[in-house]
Amino acid sequence: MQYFKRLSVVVLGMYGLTFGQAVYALGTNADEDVTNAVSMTYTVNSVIQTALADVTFKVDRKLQVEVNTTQTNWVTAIPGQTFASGNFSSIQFTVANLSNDEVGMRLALIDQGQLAISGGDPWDAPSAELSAALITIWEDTNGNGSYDVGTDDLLGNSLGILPVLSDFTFSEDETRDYYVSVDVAGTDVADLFETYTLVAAVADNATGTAVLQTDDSGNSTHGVADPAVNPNGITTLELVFADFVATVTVEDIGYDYVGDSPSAAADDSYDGQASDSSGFRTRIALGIAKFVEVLYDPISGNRYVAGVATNDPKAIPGAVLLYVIGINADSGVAATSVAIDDDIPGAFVTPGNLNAVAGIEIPATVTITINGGSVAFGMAAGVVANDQYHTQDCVGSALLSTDFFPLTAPEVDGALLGSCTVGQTGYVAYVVTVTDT
Amino acid sequence: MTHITLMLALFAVLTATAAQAQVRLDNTIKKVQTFVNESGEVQRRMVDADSVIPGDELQYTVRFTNHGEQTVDAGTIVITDAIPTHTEYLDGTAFGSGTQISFSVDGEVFAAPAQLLVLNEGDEGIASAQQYTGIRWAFSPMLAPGESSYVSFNVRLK
Repeated sequence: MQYFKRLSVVVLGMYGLTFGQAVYALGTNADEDVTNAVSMTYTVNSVIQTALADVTFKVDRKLQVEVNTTQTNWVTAIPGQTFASGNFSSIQFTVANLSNDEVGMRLALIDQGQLAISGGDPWDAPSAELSAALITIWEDTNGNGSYDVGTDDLLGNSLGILPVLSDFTFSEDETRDYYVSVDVAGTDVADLFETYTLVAAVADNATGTAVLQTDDSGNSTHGVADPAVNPNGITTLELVFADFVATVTVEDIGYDYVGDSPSAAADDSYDGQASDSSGFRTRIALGIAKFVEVLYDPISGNRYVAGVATNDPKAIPGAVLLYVIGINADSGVAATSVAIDDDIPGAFVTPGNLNAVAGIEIPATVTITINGGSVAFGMAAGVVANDQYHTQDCVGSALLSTDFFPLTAPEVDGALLGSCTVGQTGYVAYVVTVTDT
Repeated sequence: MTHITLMLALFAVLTATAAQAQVRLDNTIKKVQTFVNESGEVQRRMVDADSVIPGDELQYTVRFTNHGEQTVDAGTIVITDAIPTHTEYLDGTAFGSGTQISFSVDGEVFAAPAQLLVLNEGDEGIASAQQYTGIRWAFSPMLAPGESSYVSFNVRLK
């Protein structure tokens, strides 16, 4: 009893920030020996005696890779986009080594055609594939989300299954980002699809890139018979596939390493492999941007004059402004039924040249930056009509024309006639007067 | 002189007999494995710890048996187990029939969980099970020759 009286005191321990914070992602290193030491004291005829007993086990080699994509829907691909031009879209994958040891890794990029992807809209299998001319995969070594020549590691450039045979060695808990772009035929139309799967397989360190096909716990890759469980004792290092797929989805069907080659199989739990899928959907792209120029200010009376910067009218109450919303077609396939809608902020401006200020000049050409490029729009005569907005159909289209419509709040609904194809431009323009209250 | 020598020899024999280690410890480890039975229910079972990776739950069992010819005094058996490095104790798993169980956060002072206070980021509070570094069982009954009992606890490999 004296023993327990002594223990009834409150003890105070000092713990740092990290004490007790279990981090299983990091995990105890493989090949670590963990010993449990137990001691016992007892008395026989009032003579104190002791006994000791230890037991030790070895932490086995947990092999777990993970592949994830951040995309939650199809990534837009513009017909005509090419990796070589530097103007392309890409899908992203992150490969992580969640093992408790350094592991070798083998990667393959597999073209899945128009296979549906999780979260992709439409949800069902898309109707048709896009025309892929080239697939490019690179590692984003500097982590900036874009391809940098001479910095990022270009891993492959071809079509179909793209086994990435580089000798990857991932340290414990290391992650790497990989990006994939596709060159799309310029003749492709909208709503064509292409899905790509990145599969990562644990490879044998000793041989560099040979896929590990079995572990010591009775697990195997596809196409390989499950081995017998190898109970080699608690003090011997074992290999244990620890990847887990909660639910096999349509994405998981149709790719995996079989033996040492990527082939048709389903990704599953405890096979030493992991995968994820992402895909492209073609869209007909139009660049769009809005431009404003002050044409007149009522205090100084200054008016816009082309090439005379000193006039510099100010955007003050009563000023007349010119708005231009320009579009620029990026796709080789014609975009039709182009509509430009613009809300007029009625609390701040009144549609039109409210006070019918005479002598206002408009720019002959307005230059707008669209998607990083400068696009020049020639302003048609009559654009400053006091109470009208006008639409300019795409320059070069068969139905090129300029049309005028009544300009009233709260919005401009501009419909461009004809079609817009690569390099063609159109716009909607109107003037407003800054509210003077 | 001869008489004194015989007395000393007899004393030495008696002392050696009384102090002879007669309780043996058997320290074993099993892995706790979950599985789904034929009814679709998730169940647990103990398997050999041949394959152990981070995240696995393990159970240590320490069996003590009196292999001697004398009874171990009641209330004198005290078993102390240091939570193995790289593992953390799982709350509520320490077991021992006929024992009073206490814990430690420094391996030296053992007390009931509510009495173990630690400083976490400067704030004093009751230690969590994951902060325990040792377990102690005080076995109340006597242990007659041939008798045995056991204590156990579970940990998770970090």
